[in-house]
Amino acid sequence: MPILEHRTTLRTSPGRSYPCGATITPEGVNFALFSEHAQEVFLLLFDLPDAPPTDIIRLEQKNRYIWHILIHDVGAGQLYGYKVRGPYDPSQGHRFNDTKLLICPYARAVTGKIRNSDRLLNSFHASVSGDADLLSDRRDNTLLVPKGIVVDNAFDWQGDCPPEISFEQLVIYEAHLKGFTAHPSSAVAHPGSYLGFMEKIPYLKSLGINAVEFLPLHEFYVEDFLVANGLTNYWGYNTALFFAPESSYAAVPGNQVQEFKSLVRELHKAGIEVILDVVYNHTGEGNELGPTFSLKGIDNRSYYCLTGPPEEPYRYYHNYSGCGNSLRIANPHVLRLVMDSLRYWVEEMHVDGFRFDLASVLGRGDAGDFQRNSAFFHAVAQDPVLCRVKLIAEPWDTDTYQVGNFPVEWAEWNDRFRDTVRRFMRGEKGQIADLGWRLTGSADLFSHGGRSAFHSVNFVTCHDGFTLYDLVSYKRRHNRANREKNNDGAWENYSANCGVEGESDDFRVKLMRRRMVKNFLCILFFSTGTPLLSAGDEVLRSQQGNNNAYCQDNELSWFNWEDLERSNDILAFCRKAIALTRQYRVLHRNKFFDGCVTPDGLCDIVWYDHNLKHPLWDNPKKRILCFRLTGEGGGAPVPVRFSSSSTPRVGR
Amino acid sequence: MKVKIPPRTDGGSWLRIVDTALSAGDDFSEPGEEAPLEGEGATYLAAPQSVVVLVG
Repeated sequence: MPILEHRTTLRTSPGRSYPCGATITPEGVNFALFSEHAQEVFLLLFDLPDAPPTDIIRLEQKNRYIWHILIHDVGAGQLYGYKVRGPYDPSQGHRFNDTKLLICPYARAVTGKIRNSDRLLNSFHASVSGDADLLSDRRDNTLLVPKGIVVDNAFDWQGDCPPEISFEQLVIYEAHLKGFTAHPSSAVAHPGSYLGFMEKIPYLKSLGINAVEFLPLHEFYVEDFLVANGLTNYWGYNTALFFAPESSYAAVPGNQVQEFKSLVRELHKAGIEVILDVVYNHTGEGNELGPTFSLKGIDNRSYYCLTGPPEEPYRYYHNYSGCGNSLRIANPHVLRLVMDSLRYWVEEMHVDGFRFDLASVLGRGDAGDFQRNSAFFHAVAQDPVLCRVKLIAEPWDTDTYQVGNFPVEWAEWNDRFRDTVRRFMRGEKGQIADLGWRLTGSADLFSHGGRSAFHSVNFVTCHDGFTLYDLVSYKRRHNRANREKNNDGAWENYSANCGVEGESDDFRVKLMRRRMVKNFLCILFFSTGTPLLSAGDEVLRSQQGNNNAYCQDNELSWFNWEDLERSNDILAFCRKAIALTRQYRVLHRNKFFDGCVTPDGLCDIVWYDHNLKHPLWDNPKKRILCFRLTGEGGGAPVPVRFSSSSTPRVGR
Repeated sequence: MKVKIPPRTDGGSWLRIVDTALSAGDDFSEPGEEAPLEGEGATYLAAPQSVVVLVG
């Protein structure tokens, strides 16, 4: 690789420091990159992803730490990357290495997956033991690293309008974009892709759901240890780039932006909203021994929460995410990156909401403490674009649990609902008092601070943990396929196997499992709050007891379309359950119950035991709960009884 | 287990929409085909581990 020095015949102008990223203008493309601590920034242009650069351009303009330039006579489809020069001094948090090509954090598409072949992404010299990250690796990796693609925002939206479904009407379907059609039984033209998913919209429509929550679709990095184990990162909770749709989900390589937009447009035509599961709590660059492909090489000290002993205070990474690093969102420039990304996905990609992975990290200040009034929460609250979309938090991280504590704009995943409903349904004693709260929107957690009944996102299962069928078929996790000797995944699942661990030919076992699944579906859909159904639970999808299938990109995880026939009874039941919630407004309230008398002369909710007496909430032996709901605004009264009298087991 | 059902204020019958203990097809009524429960102050025989939904 030639020495890094300015060489170009292209016409350039100073350009502007706003907006960040590569922006097409009438004169060419404006490039802008934030780095407070860089000494020199070089823009590299490419004709081909795996060829040397055609041009290396030293950026001379810097305004408020943003380096910028306008390149004339280039446009959409131009490939680019950066090299950034500065000190390699990990103890002070600086990991500049001008032999490593860096991807623009605002890249809207990349030419392929980021891979750490021969450890060329590591900016440190791997062969040095002990202080492995202190010596820099000077091997050039320009050919290896994927290139950013300059993207034209133009797209035929065909008059697309967001469905704007009110939150209390929402029925969320959590799905993996690839896994939904990767199985051969999907019989789509482009399996495992944005376009493949598009072919299955009629199924979603017939199910009755009105929002799809996609597992991460931002370009993600597959961790080195998974590659070394012959596994992969299936779920994708390891974001590399906050603006780029995952490249491997494109039916036509490089076409991911257009395909993603097509999918959103067609889902909207079917009246289905698009919610993205987004991971802003950390990046795929890992800790001090992780790869460098973007932020770490651009300005490590600004972008990440760093720590260390007094003699090397910035060498190490805070790890609130459990994934190696934490994005330093308390820095205004980093906050801007996140906010620009969120607005981009709304304004240019037309998504309708976000579910924030480990959202508690985003509430941490520079001192690491969770604050309801953090800079991020304030930025979101006042944002004229984000106020239109749904915001859902996963309200915890590795060591802070904040269920019920997020600001008024936020709905939250409610794991208390999950656990209590599971424990009640498997016959545990002493559950009905807590169950009463969970069935009615968890007012004990959410009724303060101006929030509404729909702010509790209720779920029994999700991508993480047992599938619904496995929840009633396995007492224990069976994760050996993950190659960690069954030591990974949650230990406690509050599951019950109906008498046999795993598959059984006993029709009584099968029947009991189906009944239990139907019970869970009833509780999920008929409880107050926003229901979230995990894709495949409506057709008894099984992962053979694996409760941590994050690395299983294969038939263990994929949606098997043959299950529709095998489980058509459960599918029909699920469709009817969702349809019933459309019929009775009392089943999707926005107000919490208050026990007040309605115009019909009835209380909005009355609780009973089996004898029409007041339930003995605190009697641990009570395992039946009945209640009557009276509709607000015309819904008919619907008494609902839930009962559970013993551990689900069939006579033998 | 026998579960007592509250009387309807208008004297009408409750309609059963869901009983998860029933076999497929009967477990969730088609709209308009819900089975009425006879008599006031009636009881419903609910199976263990089941969910029953009535509408009136």
